[in-house]
Amino acid sequence: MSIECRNVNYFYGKGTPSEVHVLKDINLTIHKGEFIGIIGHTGSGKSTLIQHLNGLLQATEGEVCYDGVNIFSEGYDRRALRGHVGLVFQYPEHQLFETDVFTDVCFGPKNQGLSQEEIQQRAREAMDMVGLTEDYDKRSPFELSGGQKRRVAIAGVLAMKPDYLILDEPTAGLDPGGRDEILGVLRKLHEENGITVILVSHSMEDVANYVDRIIVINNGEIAFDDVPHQVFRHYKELEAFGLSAPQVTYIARALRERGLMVDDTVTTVEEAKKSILKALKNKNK
Amino acid sequence: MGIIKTAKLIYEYARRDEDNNVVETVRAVDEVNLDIQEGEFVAILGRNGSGKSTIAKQMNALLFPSQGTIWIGEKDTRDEKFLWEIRQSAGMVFQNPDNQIIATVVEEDVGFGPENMGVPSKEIWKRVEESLNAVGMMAYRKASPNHLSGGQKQRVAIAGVMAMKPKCIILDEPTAMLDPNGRQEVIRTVRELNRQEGITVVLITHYMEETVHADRIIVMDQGKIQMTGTPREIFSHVQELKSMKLDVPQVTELAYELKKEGIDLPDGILTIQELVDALCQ
Repeated sequence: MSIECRNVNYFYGKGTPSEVHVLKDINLTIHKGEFIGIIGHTGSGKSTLIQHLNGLLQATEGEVCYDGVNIFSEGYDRRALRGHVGLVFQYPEHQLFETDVFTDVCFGPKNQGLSQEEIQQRAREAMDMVGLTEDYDKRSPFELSGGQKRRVAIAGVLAMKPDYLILDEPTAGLDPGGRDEILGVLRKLHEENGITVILVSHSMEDVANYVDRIIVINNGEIAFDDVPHQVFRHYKELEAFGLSAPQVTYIARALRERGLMVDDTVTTVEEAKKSILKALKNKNK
Repeated sequence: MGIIKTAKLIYEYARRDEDNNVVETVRAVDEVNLDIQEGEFVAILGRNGSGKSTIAKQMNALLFPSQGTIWIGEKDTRDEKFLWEIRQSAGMVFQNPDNQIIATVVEEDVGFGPENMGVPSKEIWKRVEESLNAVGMMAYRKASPNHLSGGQKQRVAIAGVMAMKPKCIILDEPTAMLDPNGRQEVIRTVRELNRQEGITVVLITHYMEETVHADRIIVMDQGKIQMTGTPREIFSHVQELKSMKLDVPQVTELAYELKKEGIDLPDGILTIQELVDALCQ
Protein backbone atom coordinates (compact mmCIF):
# COMPACT_ATOMS: atom_id res chain seq x y z
CA MET A 1 0.00 0.00 0.00
CA SER A 2 1.71 3.18 -1.15
CA ILE A 3 1.71 6.33 -3.21
CA GLU A 4 4.70 6.45 -5.48
CA CYS A 5 6.14 9.22 -7.64
CA ARG A 6 8.33 7.92 -10.45
CA ASN A 7 10.55 10.47 -12.20
CA VAL A 8 7.90 13.13 -11.87
CA ASN A 9 8.56 16.37 -13.73
CA TYR A 10 6.13 19.25 -13.88
CA PHE A 11 6.30 22.38 -16.01
CA TYR A 12 4.25 25.53 -16.26
CA GLY A 13 3.84 26.56 -19.88
CA LYS A 14 6.07 23.88 -21.35
CA GLY A 15 7.39 24.86 -24.76
CA THR A 16 6.61 28.56 -24.27
CA PRO A 17 9.22 31.26 -23.54
CA SER A 18 7.91 31.51 -19.97
CA GLU A 19 8.40 27.81 -19.26
CA VAL A 20 9.08 27.05 -15.59
CA HIS A 21 10.39 23.69 -14.43
CA VAL A 22 8.53 23.36 -11.14
CA LEU A 23 9.23 19.74 -10.15
CA LYS A 24 12.40 17.99 -11.22
CA ASP A 25 12.77 14.20 -11.28
CA ILE A 26 10.86 13.50 -8.12
CA ASN A 27 11.17 9.90 -6.93
CA LEU A 28 9.31 9.22 -3.75
CA THR A 29 7.39 6.44 -2.04
CA ILE A 30 4.92 7.17 0.71
CA HIS A 31 3.99 4.03 2.61
CA LYS A 32 0.73 3.57 4.38
CA GLY A 33 1.02 4.40 8.06
CA GLU A 34 3.74 7.04 7.81
CA PHE A 35 3.69 10.52 9.36
CA ILE A 36 5.61 12.76 6.98
CA GLY A 37 6.55 16.43 7.02
CA ILE A 38 7.32 18.28 3.79
CA ILE A 39 9.35 21.46 4.20
CA GLY A 40 10.65 23.97 1.67
CA HIS A 41 10.69 27.73 1.21
CA THR A 42 7.81 29.57 -0.49
CA GLY A 43 7.85 28.66 -4.16
CA SER A 44 9.97 25.54 -3.74
CA GLY A 45 7.29 23.36 -5.34
CA LYS A 46 5.93 21.60 -2.27
CA SER A 47 2.30 22.59 -2.83
CA THR A 48 2.61 21.54 -6.47
CA LEU A 49 4.00 18.20 -5.36
CA ILE A 50 1.14 17.38 -3.01
CA GLN A 51 -1.41 18.18 -5.71
CA HIS A 52 0.14 15.40 -7.77
CA LEU A 53 -0.51 12.87 -5.02
CA ASN A 54 -4.27 12.80 -5.55
CA GLY A 55 -4.29 13.59 -9.24
CA LEU A 56 -5.32 17.26 -9.08
CA LEU A 57 -2.30 17.94 -11.24
CA GLN A 58 -0.90 15.60 -13.85
CA ALA A 59 2.85 15.19 -14.14
CA THR A 60 4.24 16.57 -17.42
CA GLU A 61 6.66 13.65 -17.41
CA GLY A 62 6.81 10.58 -15.23
CA GLU A 63 3.96 8.99 -13.30
CA VAL A 64 2.26 8.82 -9.92
CA CYS A 65 1.08 5.37 -8.82
CA TYR A 66 -1.45 4.51 -6.15
CA ASP A 67 -0.94 0.94 -4.96
CA GLY A 68 1.19 0.31 -8.02
CA VAL A 69 -1.30 1.61 -10.61
CA ASN A 70 -0.66 4.79 -12.60
CA ILE A 71 -3.41 7.20 -11.62
CA PHE A 72 -3.55 8.64 -15.12
CA SER A 73 -3.76 5.28 -16.86
CA GLU A 74 -6.76 4.69 -19.12
CA GLY A 75 -10.04 4.39 -17.24
CA TYR A 76 -8.53 5.05 -13.79
CA ASP A 77 -11.15 6.18 -11.28
CA ARG A 78 -9.61 9.41 -10.00
CA ARG A 79 -12.82 10.36 -8.28
CA ALA A 80 -12.45 7.32 -6.05
CA LEU A 81 -8.76 8.16 -5.60
CA ARG A 82 -9.68 11.53 -4.13
CA GLY A 83 -11.72 9.68 -1.54
CA HIS A 84 -8.63 7.65 -0.60
CA VAL A 85 -6.23 10.57 -0.66
CA GLY A 86 -7.78 13.56 1.11
CA LEU A 87 -6.26 16.98 0.57
CA VAL A 88 -6.72 19.87 3.00
CA PHE A 89 -5.68 23.15 1.43
CA GLN A 90 -4.20 26.20 3.11
CA TYR A 91 -6.75 28.16 5.11
CA PRO A 92 -9.36 25.42 4.56
CA GLU A 93 -11.85 27.31 6.71
CA HIS A 94 -12.31 29.69 3.77
CA GLN A 95 -14.01 26.78 2.04
CA LEU A 96 -16.67 26.28 4.70
CA PHE A 97 -19.96 27.48 3.32
CA GLU A 98 -22.91 25.64 4.85
CA THR A 99 -25.02 27.26 7.52
CA ASP A 100 -24.17 24.72 10.20
CA VAL A 101 -21.19 22.55 11.06
CA PHE A 102 -22.82 19.15 10.60
CA THR A 103 -24.18 19.94 7.11
CA ASP A 104 -20.76 21.20 6.09
CA VAL A 105 -19.05 17.99 7.18
CA CYS A 106 -21.70 15.99 5.26
CA PHE A 107 -20.85 17.72 1.99
CA GLY A 108 -18.00 15.39 0.95
CA PRO A 109 -19.73 12.03 1.48
CA LYS A 110 -22.93 13.48 -0.02
CA ASN A 111 -21.01 14.00 -3.25
CA GLN A 112 -19.76 10.45 -3.10
CA GLY A 113 -23.38 9.38 -3.65
CA LEU A 114 -23.82 7.51 -0.38
CA SER A 115 -27.09 6.85 1.44
CA GLN A 116 -28.36 9.47 3.85
CA GLU A 117 -27.72 7.16 6.77
CA GLU A 118 -24.16 6.43 5.71
CA ILE A 119 -23.48 10.14 5.11
CA GLN A 120 -24.62 11.10 8.58
CA GLN A 121 -22.76 8.27 10.23
CA ARG A 122 -19.54 9.23 8.50
CA ALA A 123 -19.95 12.89 9.37
CA ARG A 124 -20.47 11.97 13.01
CA GLU A 125 -17.37 9.74 13.03
CA ALA A 126 -15.29 12.44 11.34
CA MET A 127 -16.38 15.03 13.88
CA ASP A 128 -15.52 12.60 16.68
CA MET A 129 -12.05 12.10 15.23
CA VAL A 130 -11.28 15.80 15.40
CA GLY A 131 -12.85 16.21 18.81
CA LEU A 132 -16.05 18.08 17.84
CA THR A 133 -19.03 16.98 19.92
CA GLU A 134 -22.70 17.03 18.91
CA ASP A 135 -22.97 20.45 20.53
CA TYR A 136 -21.27 21.84 17.45
CA ASP A 137 -23.75 20.31 14.97
CA LYS A 138 -26.07 23.27 14.63
CA ARG A 139 -23.54 26.04 15.14
CA SER A 140 -22.54 28.28 12.30
CA PRO A 141 -18.98 27.56 11.16
CA PHE A 142 -18.40 31.30 11.11
CA GLU A 143 -18.76 31.82 14.82
CA LEU A 144 -16.06 29.31 15.73
CA SER A 145 -12.44 30.07 16.61
CA GLY A 146 -9.70 29.64 14.01
CA GLY A 147 -8.62 26.25 15.39
CA GLN A 148 -12.23 25.02 15.57
CA LYS A 149 -13.00 26.10 12.01
CA ARG A 150 -9.97 24.29 10.81
CA ARG A 151 -11.07 21.14 12.63
CA VAL A 152 -14.43 21.38 10.87
CA ALA A 153 -12.66 21.65 7.52
CA ILE A 154 -10.48 18.63 8.32
CA ALA A 155 -13.56 16.67 9.43
CA GLY A 156 -15.13 17.44 6.04
CA VAL A 157 -12.24 15.64 4.35
CA LEU A 158 -12.15 12.81 6.93
CA ALA A 159 -15.83 12.11 6.27
CA MET A 160 -14.73 10.74 2.90
CA LYS A 161 -12.75 8.10 4.84
CA PRO A 162 -9.34 8.74 3.30
CA ASP A 163 -6.39 6.41 3.94
CA TYR A 164 -4.03 9.31 3.33
CA LEU A 165 -4.52 12.82 4.63
CA ILE A 166 -2.42 15.57 3.09
CA LEU A 167 -2.48 19.03 4.67
CA ASP A 168 -0.95 22.21 3.27
CA GLU A 169 0.25 24.34 6.20
CA PRO A 170 -2.55 23.35 8.54
CA THR A 171 -1.33 25.58 11.39
CA ALA A 172 -0.71 28.81 9.44
CA GLY A 173 -2.23 31.81 11.18
CA LEU A 174 -3.28 29.93 14.31
CA ASP A 175 -2.20 30.91 17.81
CA PRO A 176 -0.03 28.46 19.79
CA GLY A 177 -3.14 26.93 21.38
CA GLY A 178 -4.83 26.40 18.02
CA ARG A 179 -1.63 25.01 16.58
CA ASP A 180 -1.29 22.41 19.34
CA GLU A 181 -4.97 21.57 18.94
CA ILE A 182 -4.60 20.79 15.22
CA LEU A 183 -1.29 18.96 15.53
CA GLY A 184 -2.75 16.93 18.41
CA VAL A 185 -5.67 15.93 16.18
CA LEU A 186 -3.27 14.86 13.43
CA ARG A 187 -1.19 12.79 15.84
CA LYS A 188 -4.33 11.07 17.07
CA LEU A 189 -5.53 10.37 13.52
CA HIS A 190 -2.19 8.80 12.80
CA GLU A 191 -1.83 6.78 15.99
CA GLU A 192 -5.41 5.73 16.69
CA ASN A 193 -7.07 5.72 13.29
CA GLY A 194 -4.07 4.53 11.31
CA ILE A 195 -4.35 7.36 8.80
CA THR A 196 -1.21 8.25 6.86
CA VAL A 197 -0.54 11.95 7.46
CA ILE A 198 1.49 14.17 5.14
CA LEU A 199 1.97 17.65 6.46
CA VAL A 200 3.42 20.67 4.66
CA SER A 201 4.83 23.11 7.19
CA HIS A 202 6.95 26.21 7.65
CA SER A 203 7.57 25.49 11.29
CA MET A 204 10.68 23.41 11.84
CA GLU A 205 9.77 23.01 15.50
CA ASP A 206 6.36 21.50 14.67
CA VAL A 207 7.83 19.15 12.13
CA ALA A 208 10.53 18.03 14.56
CA ASN A 209 7.98 17.45 17.31
CA TYR A 210 5.51 15.38 15.32
CA VAL A 211 6.70 13.62 12.18
CA ASP A 212 8.76 10.47 11.59
CA ARG A 213 10.15 11.47 8.22
CA ILE A 214 10.99 14.79 6.61
CA ILE A 215 11.13 15.51 2.90
CA VAL A 216 12.95 18.74 2.05
CA ILE A 217 12.08 20.32 -1.29
CA ASN A 218 14.37 22.93 -2.76
CA ASN A 219 13.92 24.42 -6.24
CA GLY A 220 11.61 21.59 -7.23
CA GLU A 221 14.00 18.83 -6.19
CA ILE A 222 14.12 16.54 -3.19
CA ALA A 223 17.13 17.79 -1.23
CA PHE A 224 16.77 15.48 1.78
CA ASP A 225 14.45 12.63 2.68
CA ASP A 226 15.16 11.16 6.08
CA VAL A 227 14.28 11.04 9.80
CA PRO A 228 14.28 14.47 11.56
CA HIS A 229 17.63 13.89 13.32
CA GLN A 230 19.41 13.27 10.07
CA VAL A 231 17.72 16.08 8.15
CA PHE A 232 18.40 18.77 10.77
CA ARG A 233 22.09 17.78 10.86
CA HIS A 234 22.25 19.65 7.56
CA TYR A 235 21.22 22.93 9.14
CA LYS A 236 23.71 24.91 7.05
CA GLU A 237 22.26 23.60 3.80
CA LEU A 238 18.76 24.14 5.15
CA GLU A 239 19.61 27.76 5.86
CA ALA A 240 20.87 28.15 2.31
CA PHE A 241 17.42 26.86 1.20
CA GLY A 242 15.71 29.55 3.30
CA LEU A 243 14.85 27.07 6.05
CA SER A 244 16.36 26.42 9.45
CA ALA A 245 16.62 23.84 12.19
CA PRO A 246 14.63 23.95 15.45
CA GLN A 247 16.08 26.38 17.99
CA VAL A 248 17.13 23.50 20.30
CA THR A 249 19.37 22.06 17.59
CA TYR A 250 21.29 25.35 17.53
CA ILE A 251 21.47 25.35 21.32
CA ALA A 252 23.01 21.86 21.31
CA ARG A 253 25.56 22.91 18.71
CA ALA A 254 26.53 26.01 20.67
CA LEU A 255 26.92 23.98 23.87
CA ARG A 256 29.18 21.50 22.13
CA GLU A 257 31.35 24.30 20.83
CA ARG A 258 31.77 25.45 24.41
CA GLY A 259 32.86 21.99 25.49
CA LEU A 260 29.63 20.57 26.94
CA MET A 261 29.34 17.23 25.17
CA VAL A 262 25.62 17.10 24.40
CA ASP A 263 24.13 15.19 21.49
CA ASP A 264 23.95 17.78 18.73
CA THR A 265 21.30 15.98 16.70
CA VAL A 266 18.50 16.70 19.18
CA THR A 267 15.42 18.27 17.62
CA THR A 268 12.92 18.61 20.48
CA VAL A 269 12.97 20.30 23.89
CA GLU A 270 12.51 16.93 25.62
CA GLU A 271 15.50 15.39 23.83
CA ALA A 272 17.64 18.44 24.49
CA LYS A 273 16.75 18.40 28.17
CA LYS A 274 17.75 14.74 28.57
CA SER A 275 20.96 15.18 26.66
CA ILE A 276 22.00 18.28 28.61
CA LEU A 277 21.26 16.65 31.98
CA LYS A 278 23.34 13.66 30.98
CA ALA A 279 26.23 15.77 29.75
CA LEU A 280 26.23 17.86 32.96
CA LYS A 281 26.28 14.69 35.06
CA ASN A 282 29.24 13.28 33.14
CA LYS A 283 31.07 16.57 33.44
CA ASN A 284 30.69 16.67 37.22
CA LYS A 285 31.89 13.11 37.71
CA MET B 1 1.30 61.50 26.95
CA GLY B 2 2.72 58.79 24.70
CA ILE B 3 2.20 58.53 20.98
CA ILE B 4 -0.51 55.91 21.49
CA LYS B 5 -2.59 56.22 24.59
CA THR B 6 -5.87 54.64 25.61
CA ALA B 7 -8.03 55.30 28.63
CA LYS B 8 -10.58 52.65 29.66
CA LEU B 9 -10.90 51.63 26.03
CA ILE B 10 -13.90 49.39 25.40
CA TYR B 11 -14.97 47.87 22.12
CA GLU B 12 -18.21 45.95 21.78
CA TYR B 13 -19.86 44.41 18.80
CA ALA B 14 -23.28 42.88 18.45
CA ARG B 15 -23.93 39.39 17.16
CA ARG B 16 -27.13 39.29 15.16
CA ASP B 17 -29.37 36.45 13.98
CA GLU B 18 -30.75 36.08 10.46
CA ASP B 19 -33.48 38.67 11.12
CA ASN B 20 -30.91 41.19 12.26
CA ASN B 21 -31.97 41.01 15.91
CA VAL B 22 -29.15 41.41 18.40
CA VAL B 23 -28.43 38.00 19.98
CA GLU B 24 -25.66 39.10 22.28
CA THR B 25 -23.10 41.83 22.73
CA VAL B 26 -19.50 40.73 22.77
CA ARG B 27 -16.91 42.83 24.53
CA ALA B 28 -13.73 42.35 22.48
CA VAL B 29 -11.73 44.99 24.33
CA ASP B 30 -12.44 45.54 27.99
CA GLU B 31 -11.25 48.72 29.73
CA VAL B 32 -7.73 48.75 28.36
CA ASN B 33 -5.28 51.40 29.51
CA LEU B 34 -2.20 51.69 27.35
CA ASP B 35 0.55 54.24 27.00
CA ILE B 36 3.11 53.67 24.27
CA GLN B 37 6.00 56.12 24.09
CA GLU B 38 7.49 57.48 20.89
CA GLY B 39 10.33 55.25 19.68
CA GLU B 40 9.21 52.23 21.71
CA PHE B 41 9.06 48.68 20.30
CA VAL B 42 6.04 47.02 21.82
CA ALA B 43 4.93 43.46 21.10
CA ILE B 44 1.38 42.31 21.80
CA LEU B 45 0.75 38.63 22.49
CA GLY B 46 -2.54 36.86 22.97
CA ARG B 47 -4.52 33.93 21.66
CA ASN B 48 -6.94 34.34 18.75
CA GLY B 49 -9.93 36.30 19.95
CA SER B 50 -8.06 37.95 22.83
CA GLY B 51 -8.74 41.42 21.43
CA LYS B 52 -5.28 42.30 20.17
CA SER B 53 -6.24 42.87 16.53
CA THR B 54 -9.27 44.89 17.61
CA ILE B 55 -6.96 47.20 19.54
CA ALA B 56 -4.57 47.40 16.59
CA LYS B 57 -7.40 48.52 14.32
CA GLN B 58 -8.27 51.26 16.82
CA MET B 59 -4.71 52.52 16.51
CA ASN B 60 -5.23 53.79 12.99
CA ALA B 61 -8.89 54.60 13.27
CA LEU B 62 -10.26 51.65 11.35
CA LEU B 63 -12.41 50.99 14.41
CA PHE B 64 -13.59 53.44 17.03
CA PRO B 65 -14.09 52.94 20.77
CA SER B 66 -17.52 51.94 22.07
CA GLN B 67 -16.52 53.62 25.32
CA GLY B 68 -13.33 55.22 26.57
CA THR B 69 -10.82 57.05 24.43
CA ILE B 70 -7.79 56.39 22.27
CA TRP B 71 -5.39 59.17 21.32
CA ILE B 72 -2.84 58.87 18.52
CA GLY B 73 -0.27 61.63 18.80
CA GLU B 74 -2.56 63.29 21.36
CA LYS B 75 -5.46 63.31 18.90
CA ASP B 76 -8.74 61.64 19.77
CA THR B 77 -9.58 59.19 16.95
CA ARG B 78 -13.29 59.99 17.20
CA ASP B 79 -12.69 63.56 16.10
CA GLU B 80 -13.27 63.33 12.36
CA LYS B 81 -11.08 66.26 11.44
CA PHE B 82 -8.02 64.30 12.63
CA LEU B 83 -8.88 61.12 10.72
CA TRP B 84 -6.43 61.49 7.84
CA GLU B 85 -3.71 62.82 10.06
CA ILE B 86 -4.09 59.80 12.32
CA ARG B 87 -4.08 57.27 9.50
CA GLN B 88 -0.98 58.93 8.15
CA SER B 89 0.90 58.95 11.43
CA ALA B 90 -0.04 55.37 12.32
CA GLY B 91 0.55 53.01 9.40
CA MET B 92 -0.70 49.48 9.39
CA VAL B 93 0.66 46.23 7.90
CA PHE B 94 -1.54 43.14 7.76
CA GLN B 95 -1.04 39.40 7.61
CA ASN B 96 -1.50 38.64 3.94
CA PRO B 97 0.93 40.47 1.63
CA ASP B 98 -1.20 39.68 -1.41
CA ASN B 99 -4.08 41.74 -0.06
CA GLN B 100 -1.95 44.83 0.43
CA ILE B 101 -0.15 45.25 -2.84
CA ILE B 102 -2.11 46.86 -5.61
CA ALA B 103 0.25 48.21 -8.26
CA THR B 104 2.00 46.19 -10.97
CA VAL B 105 5.42 47.67 -10.28
CA VAL B 106 7.06 47.80 -6.85
CA GLU B 107 7.94 51.52 -6.91
CA GLU B 108 4.42 52.50 -7.94
CA ASP B 109 2.99 50.51 -5.09
CA VAL B 110 5.23 52.26 -2.61
CA GLY B 111 4.31 55.64 -4.10
CA PHE B 112 0.58 55.00 -3.87
CA GLY B 113 0.18 56.27 -0.32
CA PRO B 114 1.94 59.64 -0.69
CA GLU B 115 0.30 60.13 -4.09
CA ASN B 116 -3.10 59.90 -2.44
CA MET B 117 -1.98 62.40 0.14
CA GLY B 118 -1.28 64.89 -2.63
CA VAL B 119 2.48 64.93 -2.14
CA PRO B 120 4.29 66.63 -5.09
CA SER B 121 5.77 64.05 -7.47
CA LYS B 122 9.38 65.00 -6.88
CA GLU B 123 8.89 64.45 -3.19
CA ILE B 124 7.06 61.14 -3.88
CA TRP B 125 10.04 59.76 -5.78
CA LYS B 126 12.35 60.83 -3.00
CA ARG B 127 10.18 59.07 -0.44
CA VAL B 128 9.87 55.94 -2.59
CA GLU B 129 13.65 55.68 -2.78
CA GLU B 130 14.15 56.33 0.90
CA SER B 131 11.50 53.78 1.86
CA LEU B 132 12.78 51.09 -0.48
CA ASN B 133 16.30 51.64 0.82
CA ALA B 134 15.09 51.42 4.40
CA VAL B 135 13.56 47.98 3.83
CA GLY B 136 16.41 46.80 1.57
CA MET B 137 14.25 46.43 -1.54
CA MET B 138 15.80 49.12 -3.78
CA ALA B 139 17.12 46.49 -6.20
CA TYR B 140 13.53 45.43 -6.91
CA ARG B 141 12.03 48.87 -7.56
CA LYS B 142 11.13 48.05 -11.16
CA ALA B 143 10.08 44.46 -10.44
CA SER B 144 6.56 43.14 -10.53
CA PRO B 145 5.27 42.29 -7.04
CA ASN B 146 4.07 38.93 -8.43
CA HIS B 147 7.65 37.80 -8.73
CA LEU B 148 8.59 38.51 -5.14
CA SER B 149 8.67 36.06 -2.25
CA GLY B 150 6.29 36.49 0.69
CA GLY B 151 8.95 38.16 2.83
CA GLN B 152 9.85 40.56 0.03
CA LYS B 153 6.19 41.45 -0.53
CA GLN B 154 5.77 42.19 3.16
CA ARG B 155 8.83 44.45 3.01
CA VAL B 156 7.29 46.29 0.05
CA ALA B 157 4.08 46.68 2.08
CA ILE B 158 6.18 48.12 4.92
CA ALA B 159 7.91 50.48 2.48
CA GLY B 160 4.47 51.62 1.31
CA VAL B 161 3.63 52.55 4.88
CA MET B 162 7.03 54.21 5.40
CA ALA B 163 6.49 56.42 2.36
CA MET B 164 3.63 58.07 4.23
CA LYS B 165 6.20 59.13 6.86
CA PRO B 166 4.34 57.68 9.81
CA LYS B 167 5.43 58.10 13.40
CA CYS B 168 4.42 54.59 14.24
CA ILE B 169 3.80 51.38 12.42
CA ILE B 170 1.42 48.68 13.58
CA LEU B 171 1.99 45.17 12.27
CA ASP B 172 -0.77 42.60 12.73
CA GLU B 173 0.81 39.15 12.38
CA PRO B 174 3.02 40.24 9.48
CA THR B 175 4.92 36.94 9.41
CA ALA B 176 2.08 34.44 9.80
CA MET B 177 2.15 33.39 6.16
CA LEU B 178 5.90 33.42 5.62
CA ASP B 179 8.62 30.77 5.62
CA PRO B 180 11.50 31.02 8.15
CA ASN B 181 13.62 33.19 5.85
CA GLY B 182 10.77 35.56 5.09
CA ARG B 183 9.99 35.88 8.79
CA GLN B 184 13.57 36.81 9.57
CA GLU B 185 13.69 39.38 6.75
CA VAL B 186 10.57 41.12 8.00
CA ILE B 187 11.56 41.17 11.66
CA ARG B 188 15.04 42.41 10.87
CA THR B 189 13.54 45.20 8.75
CA VAL B 190 11.14 46.23 11.49
CA ARG B 191 13.88 46.29 14.12
CA GLU B 192 16.04 48.47 11.91
CA LEU B 193 13.24 50.95 11.27
CA ASN B 194 12.75 51.15 15.01
CA ARG B 195 16.39 51.62 15.91
CA GLN B 196 17.63 53.69 13.01
CA GLU B 197 14.61 55.78 12.06
CA GLY B 198 13.13 55.93 15.54
CA ILE B 199 9.74 54.65 14.32
CA THR B 200 7.44 53.43 17.08
CA VAL B 201 6.59 49.77 16.46
CA VAL B 202 3.61 47.77 17.64
CA LEU B 203 4.04 44.14 16.63
CA ILE B 204 1.33 41.54 17.01
CA THR B 205 2.58 38.01 16.53
CA HIS B 206 2.17 34.36 17.47
CA TYR B 207 5.87 33.68 17.09
CA MET B 208 7.32 34.18 20.55
CA GLU B 209 10.93 34.36 19.40
CA GLU B 210 10.07 37.50 17.37
CA THR B 211 9.30 39.40 20.55
CA VAL B 212 12.50 38.83 22.55
CA HIS B 213 14.04 42.08 21.31
CA ALA B 214 10.99 44.24 22.07
CA ASP B 215 11.27 46.95 24.72
CA ARG B 216 8.03 45.77 26.20
CA ILE B 217 5.56 42.92 25.79
CA ILE B 218 1.86 43.26 26.48
CA VAL B 219 -0.07 40.02 26.99
CA MET B 220 -3.80 40.16 26.30
CA ASP B 221 -6.51 37.68 27.13
CA GLN B 222 -10.29 38.07 27.14
CA GLY B 223 -10.04 41.68 26.04
CA LYS B 224 -7.88 42.73 28.97
CA ILE B 225 -4.20 43.33 29.51
CA GLN B 226 -3.06 40.42 31.67
CA MET B 227 0.65 41.12 31.84
CA THR B 228 3.03 43.80 30.76
CA GLY B 229 6.80 43.92 31.12
CA THR B 230 10.13 43.38 29.46
CA PRO B 231 10.54 40.14 27.48
CA ARG B 232 12.62 38.75 30.32
CA GLU B 233 9.92 39.49 32.87
CA ILE B 234 7.13 38.12 30.70
CA PHE B 235 8.89 34.94 29.67
CA SER B 236 9.74 34.14 33.29
CA HIS B 237 6.06 33.24 33.67
CA VAL B 238 6.09 30.05 31.62
CA GLN B 239 3.12 28.46 33.39
CA GLU B 240 0.85 31.52 33.20
CA LEU B 241 1.62 31.98 29.50
CA LYS B 242 0.81 28.35 28.78
CA SER B 243 -2.47 28.67 30.67
CA MET B 244 -3.36 31.53 28.32
CA LYS B 245 -2.61 29.18 25.41
CA LEU B 246 0.56 31.04 24.60
CA ASP B 247 4.04 29.75 24.18
CA VAL B 248 7.56 30.73 25.11
CA PRO B 249 10.62 30.56 22.83
CA GLN B 250 12.10 27.05 22.74
CA VAL B 251 15.26 28.23 24.50
CA THR B 252 13.18 29.68 27.35
CA GLU B 253 11.17 26.48 27.64
CA LEU B 254 14.33 24.36 27.70
CA ALA B 255 15.85 26.54 30.43
CA TYR B 256 12.61 26.28 32.42
CA GLU B 257 12.59 22.48 32.10
CA LEU B 258 16.25 22.25 33.14
CA LYS B 259 15.57 24.45 36.14
CA LYS B 260 12.79 22.11 37.22
CA GLU B 261 15.39 19.32 37.19
CA GLY B 262 17.49 21.27 39.66
CA ILE B 263 19.94 22.99 37.33
CA ASP B 264 20.84 26.45 38.61
CA LEU B 265 19.75 28.92 35.91
CA PRO B 266 18.39 32.48 35.98
CA ASP B 267 14.69 33.06 35.13
CA GLY B 268 13.52 34.24 31.73
CA ILE B 269 16.41 33.17 29.52
CA LEU B 270 15.69 34.53 26.04
CA THR B 271 18.59 33.77 23.75
CA ILE B 272 20.77 30.81 22.92
CA GLN B 273 23.80 32.81 24.02
CA GLU B 274 22.37 33.40 27.49
CA LEU B 275 21.61 29.73 28.03
CA VAL B 276 24.97 28.59 26.76
CA ASP B 277 26.78 31.13 28.96
CA ALA B 278 24.78 30.07 32.01
CA LEU B 279 25.41 26.37 31.44
CA CYS B 280 29.10 26.63 30.55
CA GLN B 281 30.37 29.06 33.19
